[in-house]
Amino acid sequence: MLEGRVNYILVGLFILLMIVVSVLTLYIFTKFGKKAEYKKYLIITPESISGLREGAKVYYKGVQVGKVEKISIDPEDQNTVKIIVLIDKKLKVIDGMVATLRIQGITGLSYINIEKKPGFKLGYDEKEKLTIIPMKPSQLQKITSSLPEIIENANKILLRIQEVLSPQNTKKINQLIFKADKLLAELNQAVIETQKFITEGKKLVKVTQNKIKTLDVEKINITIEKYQKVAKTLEKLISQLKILTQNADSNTLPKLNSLLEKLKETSQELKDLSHKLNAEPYSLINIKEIKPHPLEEKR
Amino acid sequence: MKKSFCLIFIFMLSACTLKTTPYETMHLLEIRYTYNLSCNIKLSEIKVADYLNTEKMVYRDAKGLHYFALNKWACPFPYVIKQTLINSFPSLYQNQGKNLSIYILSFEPYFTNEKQGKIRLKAIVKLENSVKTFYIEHHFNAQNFEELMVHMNKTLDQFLKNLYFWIQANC
Repeated sequence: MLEGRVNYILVGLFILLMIVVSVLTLYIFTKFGKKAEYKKYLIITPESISGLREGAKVYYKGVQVGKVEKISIDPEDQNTVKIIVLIDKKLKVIDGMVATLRIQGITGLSYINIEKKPGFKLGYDEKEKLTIIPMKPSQLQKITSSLPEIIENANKILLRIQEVLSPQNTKKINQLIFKADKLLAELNQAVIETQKFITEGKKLVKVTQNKIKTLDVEKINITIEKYQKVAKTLEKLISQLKILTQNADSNTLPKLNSLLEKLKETSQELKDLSHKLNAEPYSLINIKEIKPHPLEEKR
Repeated sequence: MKKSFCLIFIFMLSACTLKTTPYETMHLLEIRYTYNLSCNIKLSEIKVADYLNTEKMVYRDAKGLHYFALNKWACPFPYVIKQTLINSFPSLYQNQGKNLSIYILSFEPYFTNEKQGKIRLKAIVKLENSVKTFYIEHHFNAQNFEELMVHMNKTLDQFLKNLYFWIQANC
C-alpha cells in the first residue's frame, strides 16, 4: 500500500464497527442492563407522596439500591398511589421490610427508604404480577396529616367557646345560681392543662417553623401559620375561661364541661405530635451539605 | 487520516479515564480491648445529642458544625455506640443487674487546620444512683480519613477504659 493512499474498505468497516459498538453499548446500559440487575416491586400507599418523582432514588441502610420507575394513581381506587420501583436483584426483599418516604436535603424532593421493621409482610399484586413492599407513613407524613386535624379540632373548640361566651350565656352567668365544687376542680385542672398546651404548642410551632422553613414545604408552613393564630386566640380565651369557672350556672356548666373535654383531647393530640418531633427531630433538620473535607479526598 | 483516527481513539478512551463520581464509605467503631465486669450491669438506655442522632458523621472547625460528605456511619450513630459497648463489655448482653444509662453529648473531631485537631468525647453516665461526666480530648494529626478513624477509635478506647474503671469502682 502506498503511503497516503486511503483504503476506503477499511474506513468503511471501521465506521460500521463503531456504529455496532455504540448501539450495543447503548442497549446494554439501558434496557438489557436494567433487566439483568434490577427487579420490579410495587409500593402502594394512601398517603401523599409529594416531592417523589420518577427516577427518585431508593435507599437501604443509606446505600442506593434502586430507583422509582413509575408513579400513578390506582384507576380502581383514586385514593391510592401506586409506585413501581426497580431494586437491585442482589438485595433480597423479604418479609419485615418496609418502605418510607423521606425528604432529601433542602430541595424538598423525596426518596424512598427501605428498612427492616418486624411485623410487616410482603404482598403480591395479581394484576401487576409484582411483589408489594408495604409502606408505612413517615414521621413527616404523620405530621402533615395530623396538623390539619389538630387545627380542625382547635377551630371546633373556638366555635364552642364563642357559643358559651354569647351575650345570652353571659347574662346567665352573671345571675349565678350555684357552684359545683367538683366540676370547678375539673375546670381548674383543665385550665392548667390548657395552659401547658398553649406553652407547648408555642414552643413546638417555633421549633418546627425554624426547621421547616429550610425545607420550604409549603403545606406544612401554611398549616403552622394557621395553627399559630388559633393558639394565640386560645390563649386569650383561657383568661375568660378562668372567669367562667368562678361564675358558672347550671345551664352553662354542662356546655363548659363538654368544651373542656374537647380541650383535653386537643392537648393530648398536641402532646403526641410533640413526641413525634422529639423522637425523630433530625428528619426535619437539614444542615446544608458542604463540599468534601480535604481529608476525605486523600487516599 | 491516520492522525484523525488516533485522535478519535484518544478522545473515546479519555471518556473512561474521566473523574468518576465519588462514593460514600461507611464506618463502624472498632475497639481494641474487651473488659470483664465484676458485677452484672444492664444497658438500660443509650442517648445521643440530637445532632449526632443520624448516620452522618459530624465534624467541627472554626466555622461551625458540618457533616462529612463522603464518609458516614454504617447505621445511625446510637446503634454504632450500642454495638461498640456490647463488644467492649460482653456481659452487658445478659441484660440483667444494675441499670447503666449513657448519654453521649459530643463525639466529633474538631479541626484546627486541614489535618490536625482534637477529637472530643463528652458523655454523662449513670449507674444506679451514681452519675459521672466523662470528657476526653485526643489530639490527632491525620493524613487521610482512615487515619482519622484510627484516632476516633483511640478516643473511644480511652473512654471505654475510663468507663470500665468507674463501673468497677461503683459496682
